[in-house]
Amino acid sequence: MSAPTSLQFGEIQRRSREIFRVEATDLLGELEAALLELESDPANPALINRVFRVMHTLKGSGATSGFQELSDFLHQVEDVFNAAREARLQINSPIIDLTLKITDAVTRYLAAAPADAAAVLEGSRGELSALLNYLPASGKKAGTAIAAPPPQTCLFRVRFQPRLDLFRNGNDPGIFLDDLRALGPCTVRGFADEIPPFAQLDPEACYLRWEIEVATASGEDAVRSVFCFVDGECDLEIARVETVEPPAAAIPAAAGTRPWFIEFQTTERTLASPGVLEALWRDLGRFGQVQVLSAPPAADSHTPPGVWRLRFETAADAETIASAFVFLLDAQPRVTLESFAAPGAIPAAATAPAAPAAPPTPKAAASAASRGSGETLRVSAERLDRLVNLVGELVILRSQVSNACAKATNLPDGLAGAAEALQSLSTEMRDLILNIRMMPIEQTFSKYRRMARDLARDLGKEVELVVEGGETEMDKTVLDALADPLMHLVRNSLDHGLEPAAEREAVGKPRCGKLRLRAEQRGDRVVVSVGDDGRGLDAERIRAKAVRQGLLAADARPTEDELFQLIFLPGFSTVEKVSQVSGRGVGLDVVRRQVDQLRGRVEVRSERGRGAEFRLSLPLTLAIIEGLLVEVDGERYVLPLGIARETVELKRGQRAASNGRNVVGLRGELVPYLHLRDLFLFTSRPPEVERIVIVEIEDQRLGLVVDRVIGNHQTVLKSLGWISRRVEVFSGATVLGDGRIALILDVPALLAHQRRQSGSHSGLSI
Amino acid sequence: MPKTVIAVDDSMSVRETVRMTLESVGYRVQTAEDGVRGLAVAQQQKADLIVTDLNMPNMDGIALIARLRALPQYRFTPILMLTTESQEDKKIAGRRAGATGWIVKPFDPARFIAVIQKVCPAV
Repeated sequence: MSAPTSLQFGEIQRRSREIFRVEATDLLGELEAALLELESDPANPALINRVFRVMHTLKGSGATSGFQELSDFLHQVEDVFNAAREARLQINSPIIDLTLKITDAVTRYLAAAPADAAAVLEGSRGELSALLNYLPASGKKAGTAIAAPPPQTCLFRVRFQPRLDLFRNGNDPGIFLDDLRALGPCTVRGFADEIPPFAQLDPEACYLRWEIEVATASGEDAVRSVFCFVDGECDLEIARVETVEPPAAAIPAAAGTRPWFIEFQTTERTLASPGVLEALWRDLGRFGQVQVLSAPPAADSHTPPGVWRLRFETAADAETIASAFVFLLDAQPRVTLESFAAPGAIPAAATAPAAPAAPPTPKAAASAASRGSGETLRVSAERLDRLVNLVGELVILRSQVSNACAKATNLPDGLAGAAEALQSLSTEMRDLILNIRMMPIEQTFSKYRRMARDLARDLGKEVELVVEGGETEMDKTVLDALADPLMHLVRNSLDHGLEPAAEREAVGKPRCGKLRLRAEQRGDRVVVSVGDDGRGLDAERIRAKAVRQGLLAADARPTEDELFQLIFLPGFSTVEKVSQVSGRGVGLDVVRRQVDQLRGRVEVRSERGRGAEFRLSLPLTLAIIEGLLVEVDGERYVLPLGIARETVELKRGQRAASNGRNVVGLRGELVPYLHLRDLFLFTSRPPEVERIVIVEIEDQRLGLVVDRVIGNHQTVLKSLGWISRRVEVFSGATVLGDGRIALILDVPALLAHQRRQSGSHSGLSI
Repeated sequence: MPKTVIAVDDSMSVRETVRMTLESVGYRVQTAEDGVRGLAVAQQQKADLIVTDLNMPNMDGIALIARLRALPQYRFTPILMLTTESQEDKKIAGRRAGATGWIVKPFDPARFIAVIQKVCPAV
C-alpha cells in the first residue's frame, strides 16, 4: 500500500468539488420542485421530508466536497425544515418564498468565481435571518462551551468489559487496544475467567475483559473516545491514576528498536483538519513508542501551531516514520537517529522525504473514477460534442471511401467488403452517439414551474402547471435551444392567455387557470406544446390589427388559421398595453425565428374563450440530417430531405412565359419559386431544362430552381460560425464524399425572403 | 487481494469522494446509491467493509444495516455509518441495528482513511 500524498488529496478534493457542482444542479432543481409542491400542500409530512432530505444531502455533500461555508449556511435553513418535520413549525408561503430565494442564491454561489462566491452567500443573509425568525424559540440553539482538558500527561486505568454480542456488530476488541496504545504506552491485562464451560460456550460471543493502564497527554476524553463505537454497550471504567512525567521514560526499549529524534511543525493549515494530531499519535503508535520532548505551549483547550520535538523508539526506518506525517499539511518532519542529533541542530543528510509516493497523473485519477459498478457516468457535454464531431468526420470519411470504391475499377481483395463494414459500423456508431445525447425534456419543463408560479403571482393570476410526456427525449442541443422559445410561450400564455381569477369566475371557469406543457414523439420529430385554458386568440382583433399595420389587405378573406399565423410576424402584437411580462410585442416572431433555426415549425390552435395551444414541431436531432443534394452552376447545395416534396421540370420556354412572376402551376395550384441562380447572382447561362424542387414548410410550398438534383445525401451539419450570422440563406455546411464543401440551404429563411419579395404586392402570401 | 469496500450514499459527490479516497490507498470500492442497491451489491459479492449513509430513499441506512446483519456472510463484517452531528438518535438506532461505528460528515480524506484503516486495515 502506498501512502497517499497531500497532492493526491488535493486532486481528490478538486474532483469532488467538480462532481458536487453537477450534483448540486440536480439537487437544486429537485429542491425547487419539492418546495413548489410543498407550497400547494404545506402540511404534507412526506413533502416536508422530501425538502428536508434534499437540503440535507446538499449540505452534507457540500461539506464533504469542500464547500464548508455553503454547508454551514444550509445547515441553518435545514433547521427550519427540521422543525417543520418535528411539527414545531408550520410551513407557510413566506417560508417557501424565502427558501426559493435562498435556492437561487445557492445556484448563483455555485456558478460564481471562487473569489466572489462568499459574497453571494453573504448577500442572502437577510433572507436567511428572516427565515430563521420562523423558528420556535427552543429551536434556536445556544452555543455550548467546551471544557478544556488538562494538557499534561496522565496515567489512566481502563476497565473494559464488552457485551457478549460485541463481534456481532462487526467490532474487534483488538482495535480498541491498538487505539489505546496509539495514545501512549500501555500495560494490558486480559481476563478469560468468564469463559463458560465448553458445552455452554457460544463461539460467536465475546467473554473476555481487559484492564489497561495507559499514559497519555491526550486527556480522558481521548481515552473515552477510543471506545465511542461501543459507548453504552459495554462496561467501561476510566479512572485517572496519577500524573507521570515524562510518560515513556519507564518503558524499556523493545529488541531491535532504535531511538529517533523527530522534529515537525504544525500550522493553522495543519490544524484545520480536526484530529490530525490524534491520528499522528495513532499512526506512530502502530510501530513504536512516542515521547513528546517539547510541544507548542498549550492555550485554552487546544494546541496552537508550533514546533514539536519527539523521541521515537521503533524498529522502522526513517522513511516509514516520515510516512506517518503525510496527512499533516506543512509538517516538514525531520527524522534523525538520536545518536546523530543534537537537539535543535539536525544534520540534513539523515532527513527523510515526507512524501514518498509519486503524485497521481490525471489519467490515473480519471480511470479510478470511471472504474466500477453499472452506474451512470457523467460526461461533460463538451466532450460529448467533440465525440459527435468526430463521428461526423467519420461519416464523411466513410462516404469518401464509398465514393472512391465506387469509382475504382478493380478493387484490391477485401476492400469492398471492408468499405461496406465501415458503412454499417459508422452508421451504428452514429445512431449510438446521437442516442447518448438524447435527454428527457422533463428538466427543461421543470424550469418553467418556478417561472410560472412567480409570474402568475406578479400578474395576480392563479395557475396550475401540468406537464405531460416529460420523459420524451430530444437531442440536448435542441433542448437547450428550445428553452428560450418555450419561455416566451409560457410567458405569453400567462400574460395574454390566462384571465385573472375573477374574470374566469365571471364566465364560469374554475378560478385557477391551467397551463399545459406537453411533449410527444412522432416519427423523427417531437411535438412540444404550450397550451392554456384562457381566453384564446381573438381572430377579429388580429385581423383589424393586421390591416392597420399593412400586413393584410383590407379586403383579404384569410381563414382563421391563416389569421393566426400573422401573430408570428415581426412587430405584431394585439396587446396595446406594454406589459412587464411579455413586453412590447416582441416574442412570437422571435419564437418563430428560433424554432425555424431548429428546423422546426410552430403553429397555433385556438378556440375563442376556451384557450390556445402553441405547437412546436422539432427534429429529434440537429447534428445529422438526411439531405437532398442539388447543383447550381457547378456548386453543390444541400436542403433537408424532410421538407422536399417533389421535383418538377422547368423549361426555358416556361420560364420566359411566366413573365417574371416566378410561379409554377402544380396540379392546379400556383406555387411561387425562387431561382437560386439569380439569388446567388450567378451569371452563367442556365441549362435548357432546370429542376424545381418543391419544398413544403409551415404548410406553405415554395419551389427552388436548381440545375440538377443529384440525390440523397446524409449530411453532418457543420456550423458556419460567424459567417452564418451574416448570411441568411445558409444554415451550415457539410463536406461531401469527394471532399468538396456543400452549403446547406436554410429553407425557412428562403421562404421568408420570398415572402418579403412578394409581400409588397399581395400583403399576404399564404 | 485488495479489500473490498461498498460505499452506499444517495449523494454522488459523497460516493465518489469515498471511492477516490479509498482507492487512493489501495481499497477496491463498489458504490450504490441507496439501501436496495447496496444490499444487492453486497449479496453479489462479499465485501470486507460497508460504509453507508443513513438518510436515503428506497431503503435507508438503518434498514440496510439490519438486513446485512441478518445475512450469514455479514454477521461480523464491520459496517460504518456516515452521519452528521445532528443525527444522535439515528446513530443510536444504527448501532442497535448492528453498525460497528460511524464517521461524521463532513470528513477530510486523512481522517476518513484513519477510521477505515482502524476497522478494516487495507492489507
